[in-house]
Amino acid sequence: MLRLDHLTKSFGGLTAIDDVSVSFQPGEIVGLIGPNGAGKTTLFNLITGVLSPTKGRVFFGERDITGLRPHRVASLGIGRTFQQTRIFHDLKVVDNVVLARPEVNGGLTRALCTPPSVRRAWAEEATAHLAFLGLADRAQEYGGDLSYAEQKLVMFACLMASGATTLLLDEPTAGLDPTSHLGMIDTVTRLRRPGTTIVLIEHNLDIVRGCCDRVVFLAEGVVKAVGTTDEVERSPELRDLYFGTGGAK
Amino acid sequence: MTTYIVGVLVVVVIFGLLAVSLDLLIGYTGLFTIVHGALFGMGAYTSAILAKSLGFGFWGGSLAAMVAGGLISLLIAIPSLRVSGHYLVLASFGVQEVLHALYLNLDGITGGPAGMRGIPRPRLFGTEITSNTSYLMLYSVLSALVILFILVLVRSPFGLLLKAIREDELVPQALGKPVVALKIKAFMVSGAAAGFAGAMYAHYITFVSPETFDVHASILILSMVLIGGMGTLWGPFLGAVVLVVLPEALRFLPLDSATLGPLRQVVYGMVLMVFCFVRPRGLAGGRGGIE
Repeated sequence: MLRLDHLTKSFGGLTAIDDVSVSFQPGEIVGLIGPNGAGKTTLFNLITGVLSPTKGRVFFGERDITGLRPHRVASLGIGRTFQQTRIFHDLKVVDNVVLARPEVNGGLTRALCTPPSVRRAWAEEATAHLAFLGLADRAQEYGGDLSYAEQKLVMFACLMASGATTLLLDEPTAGLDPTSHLGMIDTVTRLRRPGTTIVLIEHNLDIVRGCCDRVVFLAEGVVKAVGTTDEVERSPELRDLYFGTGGAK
Repeated sequence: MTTYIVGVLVVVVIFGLLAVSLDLLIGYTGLFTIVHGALFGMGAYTSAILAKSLGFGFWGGSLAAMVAGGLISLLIAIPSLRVSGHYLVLASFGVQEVLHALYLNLDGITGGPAGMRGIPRPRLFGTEITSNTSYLMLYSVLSALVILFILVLVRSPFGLLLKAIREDELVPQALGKPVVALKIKAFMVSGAAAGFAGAMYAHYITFVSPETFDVHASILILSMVLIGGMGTLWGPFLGAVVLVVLPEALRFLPLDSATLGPLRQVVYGMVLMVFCFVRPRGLAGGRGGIE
């Protein structure tokens, strides 16, 4: 379980995240929605240790992970994707996925003593992850030669290989054409495992409706509503922000 | 004449190792530094000093030179990896200047500007290596072993991570990789190899002096990597061949030494410029390196 406890982040005079307390349960897919500048990505950066909170704590299970360095947080099992595709263009697609494995940890002796048979097994497993996402035939190409949408899928394959149990997906549909959106719902749903938590930043409410169990609605750094997609969609503030109809005001 | 050519080849082997070790940093890890000349010197002085004061031979001295090169790299890496890009270039350049100043001014230890003479030649199975041919054979084997080690390293999962860091540091971190520790390790391996090259050099020339290890040496090694092609290993070795052999070849032109000196500089500059325009990725091409 991932739990944020009165999390606050200020940049100078600007409070980007304001006293956010929310928790994410294993097995669920939670949509994190809100307008631009609401603090969604900042929240991910606070969880993953890229930023340190001004106040409040982050708990992963029972463990307080506030202020841990990003690679420590990731090695505990919290993986993330980025809004822009960020895969390694000069590496083969299969190597992109292999290096996400926790065994590839930069230990010199370990790296030198990994027998070829083990490395082949890693590559096969990586190819299996790619096949799962429909990229089997791209495994031997260089990352940079893939289309934008394919590169996004490679990021998912990396998450699968990393063994992360909490997946933070930052706008997986950003920059994709609308026809790919349906496919993204399918992909995210297929990443669901018992015991895996998925948090999804998304603007597109159709996608949120399509795959999320719960929605956290964030605006100006404050949690405005938490609930099922229907409940949150009925919240006057969300209607006001998304449709400008001014439900309650 | 043969002795002379073989002698040039010994220098090629030493600089080839230096270029390959720098390629591990620049080409594979994307850490652009200008301090390899000083690391080379650290190895040379370490083995020279140990040989002169404690009676170390080539083998013990080489081992110590590798340790010294690795440790100095660690000392450089820890503070300088807080900065990256242009700042890392400047920070490493600063270290280059400091180390060179130490070689030049610690008269009691390094012999100051006069350098150190009479460094013993290597002994193998009780026989002293004296001829250039023996040197070439011994150094080729040793150099090849270290280069092979670096080759295995860059092809291992460790090398995969280095190439990943070269492109983007944030993603490896998000995947749980200790990026700073990886960079430090790359730095240390590179420095140890440069230190070893230094020991080979000291026990071959049997004389070390500060000007061999100044910023020009760093730039020369860097040029070998750039001309050869970053991130390929064999490219930088080829770069070393070109930049060691070319100036020697100019000797045979019917020119007096007053013309030859400047001409070398001109040719050197021309070669670099031509490569920038014609083969910006170096002789070996390759996908590696930094833009």
